[in-house]
Amino acid sequence: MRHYALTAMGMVNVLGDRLETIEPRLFAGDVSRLQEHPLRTTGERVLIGRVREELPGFPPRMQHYDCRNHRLILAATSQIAEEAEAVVRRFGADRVAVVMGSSTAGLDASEQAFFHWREHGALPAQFAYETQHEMGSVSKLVADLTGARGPAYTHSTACTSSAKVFASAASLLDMGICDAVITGGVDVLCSVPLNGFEALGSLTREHTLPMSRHRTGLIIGEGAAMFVLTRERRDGAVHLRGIGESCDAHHISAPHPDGLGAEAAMRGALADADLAPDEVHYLNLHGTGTPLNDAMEAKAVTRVFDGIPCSSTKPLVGHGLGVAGATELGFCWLALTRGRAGDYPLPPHVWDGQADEVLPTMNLVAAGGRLSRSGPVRFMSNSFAFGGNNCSVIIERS
Amino acid sequence: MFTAANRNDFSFRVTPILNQNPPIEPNPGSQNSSAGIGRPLRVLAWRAWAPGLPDREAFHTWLLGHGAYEPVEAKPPCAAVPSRLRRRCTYLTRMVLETALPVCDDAGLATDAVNLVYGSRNGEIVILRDLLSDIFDREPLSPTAFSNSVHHTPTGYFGLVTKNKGISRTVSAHRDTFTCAYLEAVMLATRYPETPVLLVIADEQTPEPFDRILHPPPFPHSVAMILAPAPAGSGIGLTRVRNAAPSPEGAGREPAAEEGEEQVFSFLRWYLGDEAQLDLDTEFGGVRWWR
Repeated sequence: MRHYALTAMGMVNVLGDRLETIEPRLFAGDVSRLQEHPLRTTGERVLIGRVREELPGFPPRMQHYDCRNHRLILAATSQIAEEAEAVVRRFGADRVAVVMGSSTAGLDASEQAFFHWREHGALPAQFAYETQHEMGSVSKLVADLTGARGPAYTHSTACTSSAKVFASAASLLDMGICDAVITGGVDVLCSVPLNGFEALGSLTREHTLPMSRHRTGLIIGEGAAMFVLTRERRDGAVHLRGIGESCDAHHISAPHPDGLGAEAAMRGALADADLAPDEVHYLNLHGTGTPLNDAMEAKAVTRVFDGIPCSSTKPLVGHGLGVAGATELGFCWLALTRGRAGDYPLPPHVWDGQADEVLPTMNLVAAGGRLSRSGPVRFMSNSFAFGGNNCSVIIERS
Repeated sequence: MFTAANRNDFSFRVTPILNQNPPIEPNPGSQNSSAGIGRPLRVLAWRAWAPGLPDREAFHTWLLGHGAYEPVEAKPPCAAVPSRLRRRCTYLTRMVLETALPVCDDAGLATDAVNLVYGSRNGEIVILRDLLSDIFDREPLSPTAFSNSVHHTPTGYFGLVTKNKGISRTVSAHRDTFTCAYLEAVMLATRYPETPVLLVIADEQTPEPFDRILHPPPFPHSVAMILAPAPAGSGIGLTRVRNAAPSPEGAGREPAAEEGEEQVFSFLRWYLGDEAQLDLDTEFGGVRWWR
């Protein structure tokens, strides 16, 4: 049975640029940091989860990476630098792999460069497609930052990108290809996803209200979340236990209406971890706040679990798309890590409290919600994506 | 030591890159540690498509000829894709389906009986460029174009056409995309030996103004292969080796990949030839395929 230690986690998102500021806002259900943003194509104003702190810049030798997306990586990776350095020193650089997930990579750099090209007929001098926007630049940057010299690559399956990284990371450890993996995800707010989800009619004009009868859509966020994963079991640490993956094969951008693929992913993760449903104690929902996602997810979750406490954290940070999986698993990691003596804080489900009566009843975590439990505690996180691509991940604190 | 430019509350120590010689230490957790990574695989079938190289035979001839590629305009016919779906497919998606669907038939497999690994450096960069153009002009975006702009768009259409509900992963790693995708395929085939892996590598050339990149794909191409665990004592193995400078005789490096060539082309040429091993240099050291 797999118990791989998640020995460090760092993140940046609209809740803050370090765990010390993110943690209290997460468990308080703070939605006050979201901002209004006008869309370029329609002029509509929507809420976004944009990181408010100034992001770190790159030193001169790494200027070719410089874009907002990669600054998000830098901000999160800096938080795990000590642990990353320790595994590189302990196992050897070539025994440490990097697996990242992203949907945008540095698309913000290409957007600025494209607009500059349209306005001035030339690309800006600092633009470097290959090291800023190309998908592989995400993992290459993390390898360069940490000194890891094992295999390094990036997953890009839209909103499951940084959940599926844990499947690859686990396999790299299972097969002895490396002894540690630096893994996580990143996505940057930029015009393509914002205006694209607007075109799909998926953006709400208000706060997003997952599972509510009044839900009208999602808000988009950005961020990065990074982990160090090693093939060892450590007392008191949080461990990766199971991953489930599936495809709907139903529609290019909409989920299967009954959540068959979502159910298969959750059951796959349980089987991978050799756990029964009642051995998982909290579920971080995909919970986008769109009518279709929440309807199918409620059906799937209630078929798999009986009354499991669950919440969507997207009302707090927005839908991070390519970073959603790692961010939300990071929230699970925070809750498990911050728990003491069998008492764990749970991320609250922030909404209007108006359940959709046509959906199965869910046990949504109220403000101040906690889990009291001795013995091993396990949390699951759901991520679902375009292309009907689904992934569920289970972590545990023993 | 490197310190961020405008904040000084963190730092990374730059770790020395390993630079010593021969093979990398055996993998302690490997299921086959002395023989390489995971299980040796066999290629059950392969297909390739590029404009002007419309089938496997044409591609094979081009590979063996080591010749230049003559750019031509052509669209993958994708005759096996229902027209209502084909109309919505991007060019990249059509290239992927043009190889991925028939290669399953070639291997005698149902298209829903494989796990999928899709390797692409640039994904739907052509669609993204068109979306950026619309956004610059403040034009509302096409919902279909946006749905088609995600990196893994071809895998979504593969699922729609085939009803495949299995595992589907993507890999991007600059010029190491093929090697990392192959590695991912080895891991899936070892973990789920009863389910062959469909490995597809596809890229378009980046459109203006993103066409001035250092190492662009030479031409649009799609290569698909079905990989499955080989019977004991056979198959293709994969090992990490140190990428030390080759000895004067070039020992252990035959046949060397052609300078700057797409890794998937080097692999295919080796697979179709009779050399014992193929060495490629990657960002993470050398890798060796052997039979």
